[in-house]
Formats: sequence, structure tokens, C-alpha cells
Amino acid sequence: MSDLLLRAELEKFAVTLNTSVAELGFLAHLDVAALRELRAAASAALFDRHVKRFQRLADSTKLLPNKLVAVITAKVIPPAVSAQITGLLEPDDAVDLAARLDVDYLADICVAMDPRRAAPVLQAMPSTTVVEVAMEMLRRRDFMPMARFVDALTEDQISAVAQRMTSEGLLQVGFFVESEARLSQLIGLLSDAQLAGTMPAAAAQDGQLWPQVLSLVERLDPAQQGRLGNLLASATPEILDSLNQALFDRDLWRASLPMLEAMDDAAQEVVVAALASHADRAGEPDHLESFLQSLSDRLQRKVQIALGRV
Amino acid sequence: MATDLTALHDRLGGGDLSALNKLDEADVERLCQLFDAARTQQAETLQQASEQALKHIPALLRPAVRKLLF
Repeated sequence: MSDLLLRAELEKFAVTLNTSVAELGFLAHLDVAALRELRAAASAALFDRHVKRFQRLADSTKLLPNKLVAVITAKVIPPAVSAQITGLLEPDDAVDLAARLDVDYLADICVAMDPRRAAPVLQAMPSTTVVEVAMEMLRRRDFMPMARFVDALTEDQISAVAQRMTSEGLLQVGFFVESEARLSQLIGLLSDAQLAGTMPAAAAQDGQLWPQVLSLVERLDPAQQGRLGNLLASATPEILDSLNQALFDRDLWRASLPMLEAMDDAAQEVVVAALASHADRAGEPDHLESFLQSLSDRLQRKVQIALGRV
Repeated sequence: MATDLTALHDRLGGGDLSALNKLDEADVERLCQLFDAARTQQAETLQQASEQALKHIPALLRPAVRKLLF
């Protein structure tokens, strides 16, 4: 799991330094928090270095009609430069310019942008524009850049995008969201049907997205952990089996503990029964004893009973 | 002995970089090189973009925009 988060941080840092993840391999032994701080410092330093020139470019747009600015921008301004200037524009001008630029170009800007520096401009964008650009980024599978916008957009904008996201897209973007509080808010905006829809997506293709799901669940607040856990109880036996396989074969069980403890009694019964059934079929899973020792007494007893040990 | 992070501090400002003590001297040097390359590339891209943009601005407005940009 931490490998996935580390890879995500290296990808973000590679975008900041305009290099490849392979070039940053020598940083892979740092922890995620250190890499995050390093990226933030480098991003700020790169911006600060040329902030006067970025500001002059932004100011020059005031001398020209937006129609002409949009034509020049699309023709000769690289998206990486527009990304730095966006946050320096007047929000009304930025909204007008965005309406005149292709969605492809806007998506390119978003990949290169540090959304924290452009929050007022981003929040002024109509939800229709935000959704249009988000769908283009989703089509390109730019999940990590999309996640960086979750901290900068309004709840209405995020909700409008969430309604149009695929289940896999929600999981992939959710995995990359940095702020735990914002991640819980994002999950809170999703309907039960949308959340339930993410489970088949996680179990698809040999359960390859379970690590992302469990990493995401681990960072939610207890209310959303419980909600997701309760929905898990209504998943098909095949999905629950896929989850159990991922928990134990891939040693991901620790991440599931807060969710298991937060779900209600009825949901716990279903999930525990699924675990026992998995153990019946596939044999006692690896790490089962460590898993049992980590549970609360009450839940441990339920699992012991289901496994026929009591 | 802790790695000397002075070169990195010079580039990234005075924030707390103590978590980077796990890097050795060669790693810090490589990181500084990558940062310098990004900084140079950003400067070049910015210069090119400004020059190219100016070419597309109507002649009457060009002196005023040039004055602002350069």
C-alpha cells in the first residue's frame, strides 16, 4: 500500500520537475510525507523564481480583448506556462478565457497546474466547464492530477463531477486525494448506489484495485468507514471472496481493520461469514492469527465463532 | 553524520527539509541538478512563449505589450 502512495508521490514530483518517474528512482527510499514536503517546496520555488514574469504575462492580457488572448494562448503559450499564470488572472477573465479554449488545452493546463495556487479562479469556473474538463481528464486516465483539484474546488463543483465519474475513476481519483478530511467529504457526496458500484470495479480484473480501495478506506473518517463497510455487506459473495483474497494473500488486512470495527452488527455478521467461507474453501489464510489478534475482543469472538473455533 | 542540505536549501528556500537527511551527498547533488534543469527549462519556455505571443499581437498594441513583458 505504501508502495502505491510512494509511486503516486514520485509521479507528482516528476510532473513538478518535468522529468520521468524513473529519473526520480533514487528518492524511492524516502517516506511519503518527506516526498510531499519536497514537492511542495520545489513547486513553490519554481513558481517564485519567475513569479514576476508570470505576473507580467497575466497583466498583458488586460491590454487585449479576451478573444485575441485565447487565440494567442492556444497557438503559442504552452499549457505549462498557462498553468502558472492561471492563478494570477482575474477570476472573471479566467472564466471567459476558459470558455474560449478547447477542452484538450484546458485538460493539459490542469495536469501541469498546482491547484492550490489557483483556488479563487478555479472556484469561479461554472460546473459545466469543470465537468467537461474532468471528463476529458478521466478519458485520459489522468487520475492523479484530477485528485489534486479536490482540495481546490467547491463542494458543488466536486458533486457535479462525481455524478459523472465512473466507479473505477472514483476509486482511482480517491486514492490520490491528499487531504483526509476532504476525502471523507468527497465520499460523503456520493450516493450509496455510486459507492456500492465501486466494489465490483475493485474486484474486477483479479481484484487489482483492492489495494487502492483499502488505502482510501483507511484514511476515511469513522462515519464513512462504517458506511462503506455496511455497503460491503450487500456485495455479492464473489466480491467478498475477492476482497478476502486480497486482504490475506496480499497482506492488506491491516487497512481493513478500522472499517470492520466501524460497520454495524448485521454487516459484520455478513463479512465475518464471508471470511469463514473463504477459509473453508481456500484453507486458513496467511496472517489470520495476526489479523485476529488485532481485532477488538467482540469482533474477534465473532470471527472465532464463524471459523468454528469456539 | 547528517547530509549537508545547504545546496538544496539554497534552491528550495528555508523550509524544514530535515526529513531529507536520509539522502546521501550524491542524491542531494542529483536532486539539485534535476531542480536546476527544471528551472532552466521553465525560464526558456517562458521566454519563448513571451516572444511568440508578441508576434501575434496587432502592431499598434505591440509596443505597449512588449514594454510590459520585457
